[in-house]
Amino acid sequence: MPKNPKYDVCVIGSGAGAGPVIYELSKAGFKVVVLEKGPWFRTADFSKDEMVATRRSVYTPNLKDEPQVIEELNEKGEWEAKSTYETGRDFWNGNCVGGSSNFMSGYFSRLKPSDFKLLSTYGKIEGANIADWPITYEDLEPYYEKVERIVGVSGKVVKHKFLEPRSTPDFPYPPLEENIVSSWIDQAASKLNIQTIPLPRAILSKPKGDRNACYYSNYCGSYGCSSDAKSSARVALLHDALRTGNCTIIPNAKVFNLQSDSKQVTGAQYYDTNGNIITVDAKIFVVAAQAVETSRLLLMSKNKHFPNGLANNNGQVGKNLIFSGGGVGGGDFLYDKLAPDLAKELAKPGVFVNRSIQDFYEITDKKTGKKIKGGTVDFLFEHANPVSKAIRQKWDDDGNLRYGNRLQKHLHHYFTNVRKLKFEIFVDWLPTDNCFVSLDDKVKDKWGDPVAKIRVGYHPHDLKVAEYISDKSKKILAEMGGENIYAGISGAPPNNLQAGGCRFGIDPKTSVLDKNCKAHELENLYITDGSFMPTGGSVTYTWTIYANSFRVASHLIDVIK
Amino acid sequence: MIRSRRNFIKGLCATGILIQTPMFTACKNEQTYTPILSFNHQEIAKSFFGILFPDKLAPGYEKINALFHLNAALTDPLADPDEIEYLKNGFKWTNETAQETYKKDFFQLNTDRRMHIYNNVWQTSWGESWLSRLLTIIFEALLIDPIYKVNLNEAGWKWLHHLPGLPRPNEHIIYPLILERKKESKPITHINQL
Repeated sequence: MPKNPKYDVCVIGSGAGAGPVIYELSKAGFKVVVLEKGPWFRTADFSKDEMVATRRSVYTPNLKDEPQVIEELNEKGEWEAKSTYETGRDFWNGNCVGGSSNFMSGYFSRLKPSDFKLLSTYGKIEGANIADWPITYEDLEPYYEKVERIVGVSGKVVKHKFLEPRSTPDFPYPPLEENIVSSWIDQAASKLNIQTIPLPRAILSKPKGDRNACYYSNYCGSYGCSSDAKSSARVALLHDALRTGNCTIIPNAKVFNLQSDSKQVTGAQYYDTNGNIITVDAKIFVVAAQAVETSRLLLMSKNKHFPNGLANNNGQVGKNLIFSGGGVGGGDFLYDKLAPDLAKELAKPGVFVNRSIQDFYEITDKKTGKKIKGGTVDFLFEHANPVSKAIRQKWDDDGNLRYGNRLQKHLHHYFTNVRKLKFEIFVDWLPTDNCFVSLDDKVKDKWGDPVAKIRVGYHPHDLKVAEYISDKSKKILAEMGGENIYAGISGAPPNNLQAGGCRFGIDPKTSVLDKNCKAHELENLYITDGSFMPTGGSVTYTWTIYANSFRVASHLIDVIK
Repeated sequence: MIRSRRNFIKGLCATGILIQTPMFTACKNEQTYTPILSFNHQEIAKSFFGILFPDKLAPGYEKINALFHLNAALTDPLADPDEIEYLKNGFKWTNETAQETYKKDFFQLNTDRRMHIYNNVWQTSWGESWLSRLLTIIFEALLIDPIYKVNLNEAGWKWLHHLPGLPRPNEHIIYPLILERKKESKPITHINQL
């Protein structure tokens, strides 16, 4: 490490895993530099423009410039690797200041105490690399609360059998407004003896500082927020970090190498927009580039001390990648089958569904009679994006392309008479030897660097749990009077909910990071995105990533002092 | 490579998974433009747009300016060249089908024969996927913001009773101008710089 580095901390990435570290250390008076691969989109840059938000590669890289390689089992049962440029399957998320938190839907749920000790609570599962966390729920709880208050989470606490312990009685922001369908879900579930709970959202229901409350635009997920109500790292944390005068954020700075000696990271090298290579030095380096790219950066950072990649002399970097998924389903509600006043209420745009069920967080295995880990189901409306909505209607149930009058009649009916209510299932994506990140030996990005190769295998147990929850969810939709009810349970990974790859743990042989998310093998390298998670719980990860980053920030302040 | 790419995309569409297809495009702000397609290929586009999305029940391709959008897609400098090539090849292969069937260019055919060629194209290994891509062009022209010089007078939105989200895009932040942000690398050290 240089004797007098310009910065105390260099943070690579600026999303949910980076934001709390940047915020807390800047506020504590330390000099922080942030290297963000993507551009800075200001709030004024965001509109409800489907071309920009979902039809073109604006918030994500062009796949020709920056492909990745996905490796899946083919029909012959062999692993087959394909470039995302070749397939068109985009695995990127928001590449910009604030990261993908700018574009999240903000379904926020805490992990439960049992999620921190999955192995000791439920036991081994053959073929899965389950491990207990080196911290407990109690260690993280104060930081979950901090996220509610500082980042902004709205909701209402309702007692239920898997409610996690809380240090405060309720959320600091009341629940967002709901569509009438939420009450229909409640009623139908109640008839089936299932308890629904309000789903917390990382969206402000009332103003906070410079941020305005949600104005119910009807375009939330995949879109940047125009009122700053959505609790992105950019508006919730980075703006305040800049106000301290201690924070420098460099956009369009693509870090490709971390230099090190045998004990410490000594510099972060990045390409600027002209392709120049610039090196930044600091006392501490924090990587939060999202799970896949964090592992890729470490694997790319090879030197004589770390010939297999930084912090990877134990061969663990990139291993045990996980996703938050399980399946999706839904059903149609037809306006012409409802009383006009109810149809009008159902059609009301903007207001949310915000219903979740956690009754199945622990279930009983029918074969063994043993308790096993279950999951969560969240309900939501189909997104309002009209082009994407139309494209999903192009093909009929037999896989034939609709066209002409038949297509137009179908489209008109679908847009004017149907409201689709969907559900998303989240189960523990069990870590296995077949889900990991490595470097592809053929495909390069536009800078000539090897791209991430992501093997996306899953454990069959995941599907078994998801099927159970799917059956329950479909019954609720049927009870509500839904039509065309469907579900798709699969091991297909959702690209926007990724974690693992640099799991934390006590044993340096089987983990990359220690309990403070410092690399076992280096004195000044920390990782604060979702990479640290050895297991993921049965909810989306973002709240936990924010909370853990606040936790590590507290530790870092003590270390640097 | 192109074949596997388009087969994959067709598969995604069939299962309803496709949300974001990284394709081409661009929008020129001027009302007039120089067509990239030859007269013959434009005739193919008009005929097939008319078959895929006729104008009796819905705003047809003229009311949504679908040809303009197709042209914008084909001239987008930021687009994937393979995608553009694939889209262009479809017109070329369609005319070859006309030549093989009737010994004439497509524009020389009457309505019945044009429909016959459409059906022949449908049956080819590439046809359904390519026609699906034309439909995507139509859907975009039908339903994206009129600031892109399509969906004229909000014809598509009115037909489907669609309410756009607010704020709607302004001329400074539409595609591809918003990509100028990707060229800014000046360090930001204070909130006032934003």
